Amino acid sequence: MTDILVPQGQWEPDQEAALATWLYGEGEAVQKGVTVAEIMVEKTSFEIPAPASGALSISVREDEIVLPGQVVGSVE
Amino acid sequence: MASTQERDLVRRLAHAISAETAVEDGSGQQAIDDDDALLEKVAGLPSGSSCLRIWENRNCLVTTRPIARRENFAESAELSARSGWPVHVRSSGGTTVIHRPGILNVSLAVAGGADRVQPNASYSDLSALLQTAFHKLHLEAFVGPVGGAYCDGNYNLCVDGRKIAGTASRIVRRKNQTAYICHASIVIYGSPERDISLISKFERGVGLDHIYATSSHTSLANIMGLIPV
Repeated sequence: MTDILVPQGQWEPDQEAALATWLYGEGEAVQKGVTVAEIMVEKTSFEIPAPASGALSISVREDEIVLPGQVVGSVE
Repeated sequence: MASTQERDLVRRLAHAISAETAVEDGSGQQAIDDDDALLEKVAGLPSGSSCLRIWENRNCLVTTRPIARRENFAESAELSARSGWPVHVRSSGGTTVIHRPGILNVSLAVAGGADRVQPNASYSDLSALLQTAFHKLHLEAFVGPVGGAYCDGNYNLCVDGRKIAGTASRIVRRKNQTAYICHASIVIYGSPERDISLISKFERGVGLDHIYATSSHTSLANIMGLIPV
């Protein structure tokens, strides 16, 4: 199992980030490197790539506030 | 039907932004997707490269992926489409906005090099470009939030305390380069009241109860004295 992490150092610490969208559903197969989710900060979107190939497991729902380094899901 | 003066304002502002860039006539979703294609293209160019698009779109609402995944999206979008305002989806942030003749879209994609790019930096080039263009029309535009505006954000372009342009950006990492695109929708002419009514109707349909104020918005035509509000 490989954790999917919110990227670090891409926005200021006082800026609020939200997990805007999962582009794949729970249990769906994803390939390493594809964008599986998007983070929104100040109307700026960032991509989260799949860290490995496998089945997606989602642990943070859309619109939830997230912190850099936080685990938001995994690929098994 | 826009007046000759209103259309002239579109041309004047577009020329002030970039005399070398033709204004594209967009065709709905494709015009929106072209921004994503532009970003991918620029991401493959040497660091410091940039590409500018200036475009108008057909009548449509443009919402975000999170809103498009809400319950009742399909029904609300269908209702909007039936009234002549199809709903398209963009990849950048914010909430629902409107595209139509009289709203000038400007997209600037930049190859940012190896370093990471912060959100505020992704807005700075386009904000400066637009502020310079407004200055050529003898208008001072400021960057900041406007309470009560639809798709409000910290990087709106404002004149006289009202929002005249909304902005959003997208930052991607491709190979060893960060690339970003910043997009602005500038209201040149048309009724902010009608724009808000259309957006609010669609958003209510997907369960969002945002309340927007007409007084938070303005247009270039209004500022230049073409249309009394």
